[in-house]
Amino acid sequence: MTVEQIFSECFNIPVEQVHDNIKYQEIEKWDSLNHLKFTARLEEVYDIELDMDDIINMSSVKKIREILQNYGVAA
Amino acid sequence: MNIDQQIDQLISEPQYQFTDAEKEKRLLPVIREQLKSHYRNNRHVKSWLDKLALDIDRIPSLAAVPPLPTQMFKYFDLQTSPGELQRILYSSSTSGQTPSRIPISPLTAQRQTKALAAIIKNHFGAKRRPFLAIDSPASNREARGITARGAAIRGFSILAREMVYAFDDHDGRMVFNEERVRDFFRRHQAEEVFALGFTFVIWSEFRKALLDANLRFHCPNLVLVHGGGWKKLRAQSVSKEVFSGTLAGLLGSRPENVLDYYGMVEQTGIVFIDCVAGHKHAPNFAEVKIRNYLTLEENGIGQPGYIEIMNLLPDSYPGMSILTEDVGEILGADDCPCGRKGKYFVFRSRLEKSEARGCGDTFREN
Ligand SMILES: [Zn+2]
Repeated sequence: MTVEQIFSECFNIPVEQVHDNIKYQEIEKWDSLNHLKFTARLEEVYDIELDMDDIINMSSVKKIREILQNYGVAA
Repeated sequence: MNIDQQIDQLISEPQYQFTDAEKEKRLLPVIREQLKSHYRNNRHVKSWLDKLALDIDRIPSLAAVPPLPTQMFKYFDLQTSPGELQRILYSSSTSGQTPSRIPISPLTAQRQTKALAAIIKNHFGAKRRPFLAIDSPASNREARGITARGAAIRGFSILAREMVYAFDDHDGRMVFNEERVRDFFRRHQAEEVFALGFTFVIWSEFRKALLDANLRFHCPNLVLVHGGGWKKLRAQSVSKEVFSGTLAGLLGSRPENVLDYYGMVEQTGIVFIDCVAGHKHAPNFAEVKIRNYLTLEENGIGQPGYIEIMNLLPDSYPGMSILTEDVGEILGADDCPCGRKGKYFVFRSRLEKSEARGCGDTFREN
């Protein structure tokens, strides 16, 4: 599963509308509670454990991709 | 560096490193700029400062920043940022009282999240863990605004790997979900579990529910963090020691893993969590003053008085020197056994009768 697919599923937007520049809280569903559900889903799909700094720093789709790369996930 | 960058730096640098003297030097220039901005952006703040005839650039020390009584948030719109708000926080008011109304801008919210993360990381580490919220999800639902309880759960939730609520909401009533709580401990009891709740809710609802269901858990690495509502517990003669001992017993942890925090809705983003020595410390972006009951002058070490919190996080309300109705005491500075620098203090009590200080005319426009 790509990060776009997970993002699309968690925040309920069409996968073709997911792009690097979407920022935290810019789309309605991406609030603090759904952010946690989203990160839990990333951990499950990629079998990784994110720490608190990662969660805070996942402020855009681009940043999410960078953070996942630190864990060796080519997303 | 502009003031926003200075605040960002205060949040991102390692916490609790400033000595008392260093803090004075770092915070005062930022607070002066904040005061000027609030003066320009809010007419109530303007009339307050005009009346004091204060030359902001010449404020000589943090203690000389005029304290703003917390009740002002009940009676005045103190929004100081021109743009749109992200949310409004309300104090959990007791019945019949006007709640405080705290306007939160997107910038304030963003700083609060990062600030709280920095505090949590300093106390507990960056590893996320199973999280038991001793509340119902309703406390955390954003309708018109969220309460201190909801804000605390939201704030601490960055520490959650999995979040489970101990209660459900049935028509505005909290109902204990025994099965869910049992399942949570069955899966996680050997792990470093984090539990969070309102002190009074934990005592009157959670403790009672565990006793009623005859439930005991064995979770030796559980940390229970709780805040708020000591007044009601004192009325039932429940001390901090009794509280910690009882809950540690029921959950199979140790009393020293039960940690009290001091926080309030005006200070979202900042929690003062007990250190190993049982003291509370102010992070880099905040300071604590104790003020004399009558003169409101700064009290020295060992003299109880009103707690004033200086909070540099908000741009959307004047948080730089909020005088609370709480009583506390500074115990020392720079030498706490836990190693954190700066002043350390203890919370003593919440005033029974508030507004006894004749602050009613703070913002009166002459
Ligand atoms: Zn300490």
